Amino acid sequence: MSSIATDLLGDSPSQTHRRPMLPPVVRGLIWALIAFLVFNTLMSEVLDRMPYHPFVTRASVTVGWVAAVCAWLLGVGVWEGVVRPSFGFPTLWETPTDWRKYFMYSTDHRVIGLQYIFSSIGGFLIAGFAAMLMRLELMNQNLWVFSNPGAYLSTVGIHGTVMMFSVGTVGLVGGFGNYLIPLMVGSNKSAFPRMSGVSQWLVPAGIATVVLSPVLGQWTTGWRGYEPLASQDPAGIVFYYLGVFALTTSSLMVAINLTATILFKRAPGLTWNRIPMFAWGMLTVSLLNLIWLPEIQMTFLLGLLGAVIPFPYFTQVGSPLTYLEVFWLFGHPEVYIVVVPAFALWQEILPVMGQKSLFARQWGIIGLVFVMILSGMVWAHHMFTNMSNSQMLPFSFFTEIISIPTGFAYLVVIGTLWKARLRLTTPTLLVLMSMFNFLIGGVTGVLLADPVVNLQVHDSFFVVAHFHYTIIGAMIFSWFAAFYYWLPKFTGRMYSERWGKVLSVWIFIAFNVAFLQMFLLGLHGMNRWVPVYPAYLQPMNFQVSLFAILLGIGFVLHFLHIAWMWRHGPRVEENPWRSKTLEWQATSPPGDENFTTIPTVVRGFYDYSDDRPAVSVDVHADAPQGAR
Amino acid sequence: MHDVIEPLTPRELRKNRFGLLLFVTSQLVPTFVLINVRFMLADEYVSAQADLLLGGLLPALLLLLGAIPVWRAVRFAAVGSTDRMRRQLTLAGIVGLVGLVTQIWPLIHHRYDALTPFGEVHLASVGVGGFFTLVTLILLYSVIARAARGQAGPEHYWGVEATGFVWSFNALSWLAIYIVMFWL
Repeated sequence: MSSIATDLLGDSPSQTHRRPMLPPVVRGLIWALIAFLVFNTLMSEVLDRMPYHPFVTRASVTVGWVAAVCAWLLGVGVWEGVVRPSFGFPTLWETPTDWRKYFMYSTDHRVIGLQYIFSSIGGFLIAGFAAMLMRLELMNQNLWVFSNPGAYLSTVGIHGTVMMFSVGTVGLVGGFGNYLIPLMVGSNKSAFPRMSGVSQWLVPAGIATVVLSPVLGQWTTGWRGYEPLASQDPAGIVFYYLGVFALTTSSLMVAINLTATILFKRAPGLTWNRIPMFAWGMLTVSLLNLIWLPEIQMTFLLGLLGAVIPFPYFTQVGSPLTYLEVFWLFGHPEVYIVVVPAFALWQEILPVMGQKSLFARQWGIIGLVFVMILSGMVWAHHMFTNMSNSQMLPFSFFTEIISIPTGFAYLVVIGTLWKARLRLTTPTLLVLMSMFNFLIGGVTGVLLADPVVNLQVHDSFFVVAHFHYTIIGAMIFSWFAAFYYWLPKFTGRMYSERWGKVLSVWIFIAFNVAFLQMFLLGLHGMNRWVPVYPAYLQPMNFQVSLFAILLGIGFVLHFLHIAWMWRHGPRVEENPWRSKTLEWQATSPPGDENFTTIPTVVRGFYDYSDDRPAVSVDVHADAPQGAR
Repeated sequence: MHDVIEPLTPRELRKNRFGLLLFVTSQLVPTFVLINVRFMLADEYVSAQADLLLGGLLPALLLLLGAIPVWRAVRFAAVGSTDRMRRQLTLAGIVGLVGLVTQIWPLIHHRYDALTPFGEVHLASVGVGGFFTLVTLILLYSVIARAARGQAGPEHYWGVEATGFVWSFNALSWLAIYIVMFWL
């Protein structure tokens, strides 16, 4: 790193030291390791020496982790890119143009977006592997993959935590949001590029922390970290709190950056009435993140203090409901943090694929906004088993009401598809599949909002199937739709339509066969959180596992296909979908700058009733040839 | 590549103010959670052994007083009086440092039992407040360091103004926690 960050005072070329460099993540890893060893040792051996002086204690590992994450961030380039300039020290910063730029701190929103995408794919594969282990275990009614129930439950926790906080919350927002939002609003950069550059590197740190949690001991709470259960577990929960803290901090910074970018970096003429649907999705989800992520961070901080000091906040209060309340205050909006970008994507992609004007656009936006608002009023439906009937009523009511603004997204899309000459491309197919899946997830959600049903199927596989239909079924399918839709933008290359469709049908069948049976499993009495179950449930569990593994293979094949086409796909024209939105008016992939001339937006992006473009200038008229 | 610090345009200044407002607003949420937890766990109880000054009134007063030189520094920055700006920032830094020590003192020494509901909530509040004060001071010292290198003044006004906003937020949020902890 020192070879690329040299002293500004000596700005003559002769004073610039150059030597081949490793990607700065290597330096970050080394610094993190050193910082952890130093601070852990300082705590456990000097400042907080325990009886029998263990080398790693809950307190020492917490302090060591904080030091390691700080050192990691500094090592990947925050030292040169943020800290030195913040204290007035000059910095020379040469960003490599090769693959190494993806393995270091960057202020380029496109690099950051791809870094986020790679990080969330990493999280998806790791958490997916955990899911495969769980399904292998459940193929048999006895313990046979894991040696004890705690190991199984720790794996469930890692799966849920990494999926929710590094894929669900990050994949579409941190990844596609960072890459596309500045392009979609006609800007060359995001509002706070330095902050954005820092935030990305918290994601791998957070994923690694959660994945390494079993090193400290088992934790049996799942992604919810329930107290007082967590306080009865060994120390693995400490890394759960810390990992989630890193991941949520990252998403909080993304939320601030994207909100300010949409509000302040818009091109001339891009009025509120013309903001792209995907940007509306990012705006609403960012507001949700800004409200609810700090809430859960404070809750988890108290949980961490309970594990480390220990301060028995949630055990001495006498009711497990205290923690449940503060967790689900965040927990249910989190579902919409995951799924609202998918709603926006449907409304972004289908008008383009149908070349038909977006139907009732305002209602689509109203739907997104009201889903955002109502998502904060439904949390207690997760606790119906612990509530009186009178307390259930308002939460049951609002949970059912939230289906109305959700339905707006469907109405907008159905109206748009009406008499459209839809191109049945892979992104189209995936969006339609996503809508089908969410319909099942949504309808079963309305069922679960009814206390009578809820109390019967609570904590059964019916609930597991329901939320997987909303998370995988809606968000993950839309995530893949986004990959295929914007692959030509990222690379200038096209995927194989045949393989894209075959693999999409593959995952659609595997997903539905696996998770529809989970509803039945739940109705037959299959509990969550158990690796051992009655023998009569084994045949259906075996089938679910079979198709879940096929689903996992299908996802991996999708990634392999996308990765192959990223390098070897046929070159394609710059706007292959004939979209009017601004990102497609830049070169594919974008050159050094998104737009050499900032475009002026003169009409909405979703009016396909005439052929006139939505912008008034050729936005890359002056772009260098290589960038086109 | 030479880092050239460009003066902010009015729109960029508004953007920065908005971004900071978003951040500060988001950080009101944990403060609110902390206040709720205080009543959930300890109701209105205040330990008779609690020190009203250290970890209470003294840091509240010092942080509020420190806001005066910070905002004077903002005014001096706006008119280009950089020496006076630096003096005011240094004064605020000293006040803030003393404020931080008085704020986190109960973490080192307290007379009440830490493992009681009041003790837990008070020490958590002191820790959270101390963390925010530390962040505020780091921001302040970064501006002082930049000012020493001629990178803060009328053309580079934002850093000083941001410090003023963050300082004020920190002082007010601690004041709220102090009132909730000892008086409500």
